[in-house]
This record gives sequence, C-alpha cells and structure tokens, in this order.
Amino acid sequence: MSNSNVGSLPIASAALAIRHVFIRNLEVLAHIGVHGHEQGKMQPVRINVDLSVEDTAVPADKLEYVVDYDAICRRIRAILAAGHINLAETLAERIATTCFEDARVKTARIRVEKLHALPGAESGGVEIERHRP
Amino acid sequence: MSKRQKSLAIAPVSGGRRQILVRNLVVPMTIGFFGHERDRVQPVLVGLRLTVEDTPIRDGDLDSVVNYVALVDEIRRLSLNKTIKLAETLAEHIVDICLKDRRVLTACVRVEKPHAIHDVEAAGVEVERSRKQRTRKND
Repeated sequence: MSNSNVGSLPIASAALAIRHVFIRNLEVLAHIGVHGHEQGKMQPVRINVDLSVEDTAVPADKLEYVVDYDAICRRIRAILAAGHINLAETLAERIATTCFEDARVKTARIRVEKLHALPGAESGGVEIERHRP
Repeated sequence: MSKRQKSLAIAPVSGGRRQILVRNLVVPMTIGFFGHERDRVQPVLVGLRLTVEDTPIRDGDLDSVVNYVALVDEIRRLSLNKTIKLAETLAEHIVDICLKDRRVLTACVRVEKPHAIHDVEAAGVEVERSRKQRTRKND
C-alpha cells in the first residue's frame, strides 16, 4: 500500500476559513486507457481527493451540515461504471466536476494513478487542482 | 504566486512559536451515521498540530510544556462518548480539549476513519481553529 499521504502540506486553515475533507487511496478497478491492451478489461486505479471546503458552522451532529465523502465516493464509482475512459486526465476532471456538485466545495485536488501502467513503477498518473468555476 | 501556492496554508513555526505534533493516534470508538457503525467500535486516527507559544522550558518539568500525553488521555476519555456521529463533531470536541491549555494558539485537528468506505484507505476531515477565533465566537 502506498504511503503517500493526502496533501503533505496542510489545507485546513483558520485564517482562510477552510476545512479539509479528504478521501485517501480509493482503489478500484476501472475501464481506462487508450492502448489496445487496455481495452475490454479492467485495471486497478488509485484515487485521492482533497477538498477545501467552506468552514461554515456545523450546528448539529447531522450529515446535511457537512460535505459527505461517502456520497462523493459513490459518485466516483458511478463515473467509473458509466463506461470506458481513455485518459486519467479525463477521469480526474470528471471527479473534480462531481465534487463541485456540493456548493461548499471551493477547491478540489484530484490524483488518479494507474497501478499497472508502468512496469517497474508503483504507479503512473496525474494530479489536478480545480477551483469552483 | 501560483494558484496552487495560494491554496495552501503553511503555518510558520517562527516568531516565538513551536508546534506540538501527535500523528496517527489510534482511538477505537463508536462513531458514524450508518446503522452498521452504531453497534460497533471502529478505529479512528487522530492527528494534532498545535501551534503553541514558545515559552521557556524547564527540563524535567512537564508543566512547562504543552503535555500531549495529557491531551491524548482526554481524547481517549472523549472517545467513550458513543453519541458522536460526524468526524467534524469529534474534531471540534478535540479542538476544545486542545484550546483549554492557554498556551495553545492554534489547533489543527485531523480525524480519519480508516476503512470507513469499502476500497478506501481512509476518509476524513481536518480543521484548524485559532484561539482568537474561538474567543470571538464566545463573546
């Protein structure tokens, strides 16, 4: 298992009123890749999500007051289930877009790694950061 | 400055401050919204990054420093409260514990639930609270 941490640099900030919500190392099988040998079969991908979220008050111990990382995971699985994706970049952009469905998300940093993409390497992949449009 | 740099907040450990760290404290507790989480204990990982005043230390005198062992004891007592559902709520309670020591200026608290979600190593939340902010809120 990769030791990579979600954002080695802190995102949560009192001064900026930012909370950090994260999903570390979601590992799933995906239909992804442009090469012939990547068509028609699944391969493991690892997804990391770091969100800077408006640090509004949580007036009660209820899910509606927070960004629900479980719901975001379900939407990521739905993106993967929807069909073959060619580029890791495309997957990362789609995940960023779905994160912004929650209005409290200001910035999304998404890392997509393909674990079998490079022989001799743990992974090859891409990381993007997107601000709410 | 690039956008990426702007989005990161790096607390300087300068100007008469130091940081007290607790990394990956394993706290078994009952927490969560879902039915399967209510009737069992699961491990929660807690991380602390406290910015404290760089007051003079007296070697051998634990009272001269912010004692993370005492903080951890309190967090473990808090974990016996079985009514907490949100990671965010637990984080705020832990912030309160940390800010009780007047020397703590800022508390950054991370709460992670390993294996809370199938196929996921951990998911969670990190908040940072300053004493100034809390004082304002309580005014």
